[in-house]
Amino acid sequence: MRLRSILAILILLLACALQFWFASAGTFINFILATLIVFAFYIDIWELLVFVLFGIFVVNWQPAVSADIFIFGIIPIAAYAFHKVFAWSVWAAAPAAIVCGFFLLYLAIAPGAFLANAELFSIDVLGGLIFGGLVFFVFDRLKLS
Amino acid sequence: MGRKRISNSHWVSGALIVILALLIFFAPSYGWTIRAWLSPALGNVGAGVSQTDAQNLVAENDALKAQLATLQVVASQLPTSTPNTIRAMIYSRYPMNFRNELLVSVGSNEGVATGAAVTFQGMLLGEVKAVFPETSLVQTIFDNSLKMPVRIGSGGVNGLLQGGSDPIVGSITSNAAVMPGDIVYSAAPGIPYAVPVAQVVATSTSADSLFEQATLSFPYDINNVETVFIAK
Repeated sequence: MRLRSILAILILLLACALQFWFASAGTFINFILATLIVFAFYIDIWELLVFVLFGIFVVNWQPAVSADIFIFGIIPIAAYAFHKVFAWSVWAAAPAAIVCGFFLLYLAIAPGAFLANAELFSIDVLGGLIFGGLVFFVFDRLKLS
Repeated sequence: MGRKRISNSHWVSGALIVILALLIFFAPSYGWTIRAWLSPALGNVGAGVSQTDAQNLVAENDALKAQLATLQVVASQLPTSTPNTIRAMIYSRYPMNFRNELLVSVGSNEGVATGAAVTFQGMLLGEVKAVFPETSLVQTIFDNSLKMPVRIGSGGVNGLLQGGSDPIVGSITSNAAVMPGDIVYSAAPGIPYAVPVAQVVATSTSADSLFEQATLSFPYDINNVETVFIAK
């Protein structure tokens, strides 16, 4: 197994642990989605699909697959497609994808609440950007693309 | 050589995709187990149920004492409600912002029905949104999309509970006598009447200046709730 895959697994598990740890304290930061979005810029579509499905498997809170979870899974794949089609600089595209991904997720699943609670959304995005930035830094420094 | 390695890696990825897809659709409970391992609060569920129950009982006792003191003041306004209930453990929680849902350990096999009231320490926590054979999905009053008719205080003032991270009661007529300390209780179809929901902390005028609204306090922390009761 390649270093990149092992590192990606460990980072995703860390993102899961952080997300659930913060959630148990009543603060919701979507570390898992931010991680998957950054992965979209560094790994191939097959590995990305594995990680996205693992993310869905762990995040899904009910027996049925809901629209929320479907959108959660689509966003990293859309980021991958965006990266392939437009080939922007990763330094600009990754943070932009995180902000857009979070925006689209909450716009789709809770439009009214999302617009009325800008502070919660800002904390969520900021946390995602910081963690996503760290993931990006690790992948970029280790030249794992 | 390189082509073969890529091909092998795609086979592994393909196999993992199939396995994960099967797990998502047919064995999601393994995902909740992984969450329990990774979550500090839920991780205690399997390892120390008796300890968790003891903590719950202490908290429940304290809350009941406070509730009793409050209810003695307004006893005449709160009809006694003792519905048959089913005890349920919380398996998992909605993991993102702006919603608050719980998956609990009882379902249609135990007689749970959609719309049933869910209580914690005698307080209304939410209602059953969806029922599965062995589990049920509960929408709590901390969910942004929940709206529920309620009444407030001894005057039985009508209001609309609006869920969220800080739920409020809105649509209170501006001349209504609502005071801090008043009990908010259920008055919604399908929910037992007069189940306590919260206590009024303060009142203010709504943004459109047409109604009053009340901010609420709760004698529990939703993040620490691990068992609930569901009305039959």
